[in-house]
Amino acid sequence: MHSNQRKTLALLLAGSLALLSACGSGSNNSNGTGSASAGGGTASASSASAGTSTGEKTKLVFWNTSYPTIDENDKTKKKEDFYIYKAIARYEAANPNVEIVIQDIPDGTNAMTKFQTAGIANNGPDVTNLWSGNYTMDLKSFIQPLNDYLKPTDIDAMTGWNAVTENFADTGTIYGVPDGSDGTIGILYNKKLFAAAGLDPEQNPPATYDDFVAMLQKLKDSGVTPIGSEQDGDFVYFLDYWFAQTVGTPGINDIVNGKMNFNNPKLLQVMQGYVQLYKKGFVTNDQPQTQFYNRKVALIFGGYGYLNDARAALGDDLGMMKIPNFSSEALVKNGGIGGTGADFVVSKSSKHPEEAVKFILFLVSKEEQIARFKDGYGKLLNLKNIDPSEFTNDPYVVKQQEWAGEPSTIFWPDNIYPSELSDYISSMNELVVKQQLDVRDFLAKLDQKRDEINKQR
Amino acid sequence: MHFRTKESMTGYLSLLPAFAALAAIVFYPMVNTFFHSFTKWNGAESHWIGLRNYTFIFTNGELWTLLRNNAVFLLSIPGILLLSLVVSVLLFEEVRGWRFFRSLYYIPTILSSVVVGMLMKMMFSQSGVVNQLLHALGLTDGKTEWLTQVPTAFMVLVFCFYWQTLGQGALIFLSGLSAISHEIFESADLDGAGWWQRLFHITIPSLVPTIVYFTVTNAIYCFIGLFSLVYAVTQGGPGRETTPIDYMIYIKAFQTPDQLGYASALSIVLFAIALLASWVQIRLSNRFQD
Repeated sequence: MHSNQRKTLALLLAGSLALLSACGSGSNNSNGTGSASAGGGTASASSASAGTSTGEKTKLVFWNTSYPTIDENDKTKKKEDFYIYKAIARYEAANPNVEIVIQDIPDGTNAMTKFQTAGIANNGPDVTNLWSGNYTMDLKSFIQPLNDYLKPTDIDAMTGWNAVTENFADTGTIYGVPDGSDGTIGILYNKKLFAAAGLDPEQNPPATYDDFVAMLQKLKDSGVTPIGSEQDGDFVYFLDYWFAQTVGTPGINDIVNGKMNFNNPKLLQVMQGYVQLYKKGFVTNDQPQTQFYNRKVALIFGGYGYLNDARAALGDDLGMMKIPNFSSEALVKNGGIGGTGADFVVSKSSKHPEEAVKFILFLVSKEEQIARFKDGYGKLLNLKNIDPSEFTNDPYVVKQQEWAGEPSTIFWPDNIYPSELSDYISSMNELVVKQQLDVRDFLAKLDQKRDEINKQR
Repeated sequence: MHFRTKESMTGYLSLLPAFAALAAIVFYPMVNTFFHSFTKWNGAESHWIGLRNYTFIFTNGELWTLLRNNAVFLLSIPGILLLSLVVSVLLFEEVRGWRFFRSLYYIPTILSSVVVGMLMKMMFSQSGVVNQLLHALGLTDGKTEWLTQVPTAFMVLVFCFYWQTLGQGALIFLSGLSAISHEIFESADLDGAGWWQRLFHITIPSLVPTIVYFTVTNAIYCFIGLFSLVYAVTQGGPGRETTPIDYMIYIKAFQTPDQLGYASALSIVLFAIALLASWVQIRLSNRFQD
């Protein structure tokens, strides 16, 4: 063989080996020391320059799923002017050995998808924000247990720990730090449209399903669409409350465990009543919030998260009340769905879990929760013994903070169901509200799905 | 070393990088997926559960809905085939404005499915331009919910599929038409064959291999390439009524915890179905060509 040929062959072989070794080393590089990329979403906690002993900064990667960093109404607003950037600047000033690298990623189920895939590749962030309850527990293989990093005083200061503790227990493995409160989902309504229909829910709030239907009929007769609802029929905000109040939180747990079926006479009655709202033409699913803000729809279901926008759109015409009870036989009355729907977690990929927890506790401290609230963040405070007058004089916000603390506020059932079941319910409910799926079949399908999930577990 | 041996060694070693790359990015994931289809796998840990994933797939009733959804797209292929054929023949015949239309038809092909999907989603929303147009023409009340009713949601998806595939189809058929000898057309002309006779007796029979290629590639696309379009337009809804198998694989793998094993099994089932469908098509087309 000629020497040139030999060289070419050697080069080819070396190239092949390099390619193979590059392909094989991807996921095992748990001790990788590459640099974190601020622009991309793949930077890893393990890539943090853990060189505190050599005087280098500890770098924490924070996947931001919830703090706003873009203002739709003011695209010229600089990043540094948003709350989270200011908070990080404050934290870095107080902890000069720490650098927080913030990366924006989509929230909700997309955040969970990204967190899961990053967990598999062992390049998750140090800190991120997820939905609480089973949404978090379903990803616990990739989440650092936090019991060793939390002091009793940290736990005593806040509410919502059941939502981040295994099996929703009072004690046990803690997988996250509860992040604020969503308040209690109620009804936001347009007082002017209600008055035009001869209704005053402040004086005469609808107490029963029949009252509610009569109210909606009057609104419809006045020429306005009574309810604006999302495509999935607001299962999470509205229907789930009627479900949960009918069977109580223990009943929801029984449903999840397969001790009780969705397809039972009480929930069937709820579903039939719910579908009637659609059959009577009370509901539109087209851009519900926009139509409500444009005064074309009389009410939407929402909690504190919608309050700022609704107030900005309707001003003093905005009203707020609780969702009426479905039945006088309901186990929980005059309540709503709500609580701590989100949490901060530390990924197992993090090389600095202690620093990560410290940063989280800074973000949920009283000062920071008040600061972010004042900045317009869509969450209430989840601190014990907090007086709302310390941070607001808006009566609806005060009311939301009070509602959130009432025992009749039921923790988000969709965070109690396995996340796959929650997703399935929302999908199937789309068919129910479009009357393409019979309510009995809907409930039977939910039971089948629940059984399948439990069997696979 | 003998010259021939050296030469063949050089040949094999030259192929090695390509095979190594294929092994790493195709064969390894395939074998890995096949292995994990028999496990309960969350990405970090896996446990051997034998055929349980397959049992669930074939008994929970979901597969048949998914297959039906894929079949809807599959059955729409003759439509786009005909449309592409007509457009390509018109372009080949250089009808008036053919240069303009050649570019126009190809533009959607270079757009990503997500862009096409988002565009269609906006156009077909309840307050979208399609409803406004139909209302202005007095054809509907302007409140049609295109994406929340199963038949209309499929219609929108198939429309997106057609719109995006037409340019590519026309291009494929144009290249097929270019390969047909002009002498045949000239002889037919001399023999007094009309346009329709030329179309049915020369053009279409000469295009059979192209038609087979177009059909097979699009049939495979209907099984494995619909994800981005469905994700952007309907997200598989209403319910799971427009969810094809590849979208369900995504849901199971990335939006459902601990279901990577199930998603792997579903991938293997999809692989088998796509393989079978392609084999049947090729067998049928061979017979047709004979």
